[in-house]
Amino acid sequence: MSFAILPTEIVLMVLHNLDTKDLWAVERTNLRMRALALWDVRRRMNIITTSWQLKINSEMTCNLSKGEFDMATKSMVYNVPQEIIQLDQAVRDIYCILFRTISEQASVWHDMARLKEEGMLSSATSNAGRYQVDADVRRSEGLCKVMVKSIKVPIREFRTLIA
Amino acid sequence: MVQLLSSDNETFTVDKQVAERSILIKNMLEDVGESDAPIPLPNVTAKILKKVIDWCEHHRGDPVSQQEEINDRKRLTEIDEWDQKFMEVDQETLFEIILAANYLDIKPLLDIGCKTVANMIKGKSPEEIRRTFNIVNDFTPEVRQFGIISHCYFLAMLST
Repeated sequence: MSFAILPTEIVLMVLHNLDTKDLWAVERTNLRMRALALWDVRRRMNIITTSWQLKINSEMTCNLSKGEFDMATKSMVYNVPQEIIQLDQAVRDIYCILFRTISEQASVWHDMARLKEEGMLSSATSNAGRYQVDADVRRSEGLCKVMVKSIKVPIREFRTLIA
Repeated sequence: MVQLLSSDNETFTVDKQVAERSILIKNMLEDVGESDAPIPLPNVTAKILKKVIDWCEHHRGDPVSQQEEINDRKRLTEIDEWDQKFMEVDQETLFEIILAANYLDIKPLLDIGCKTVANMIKGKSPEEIRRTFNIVNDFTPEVRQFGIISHCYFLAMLST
């Protein structure tokens, strides 16, 4: 007799009753259980309404999308509104700062990443390796235009929220 | 009284109130009306049906909606003492009770079954979970290696 006889909806009900640390143990048992455990992680992530925001070189604040859980990389992927941020002067370094507002008066700074430019496309991994930014940076006539496309935040960053 | 017929052709006579803990049976009784014919339950053996009837008899007075509210308020894996004893069975029987509760649509029994399995998982390593539930490790060596590395990284992050 094995777990294999239990249909998917019942296994998911079992996983629903577990703490996150136990869910990660289940995730490492076999392929089917990994898929189902990650499915439940996605459900948990959808319950958390963490609203991340982004600033580029202290310019205007962007509100990020609700976020989609990417099972392959175990990350939350947030899309950024397709707005071009034009920096006032030709800047050498471009910093992306991720934070979330916890009240009208306070916000929590999460991490900072410096964009590394490779041709037109740029990507960055934050200083502490906590998130990854995909962006398009164009420089012309002394101006720098930055369009951030998405931000990928690994699931481990949410451990205090879904523990 | 209502008669229930198990998959192995054993008939059980139970109170209508007890039988109606099952939403499947309740709907069947409403659809068919008054009848002496036993209700066939082709997915449930006599052994498991007897267990399910025992549970329904013990919980016959529980108001269904209130039960759900109580379950919502309780800690996720908390189970009543009587139900804990009821679920002290071998793993095959436990899984069959869960499958029967799902088929018969007895949500509180299904919840208790799932919580019991969850309690059997709590605090165990992946290897212990595999051993407990006879789960075959079908990860390729590459995936296994990556899993170990990512798990070590995850633990390192937890300790920071």
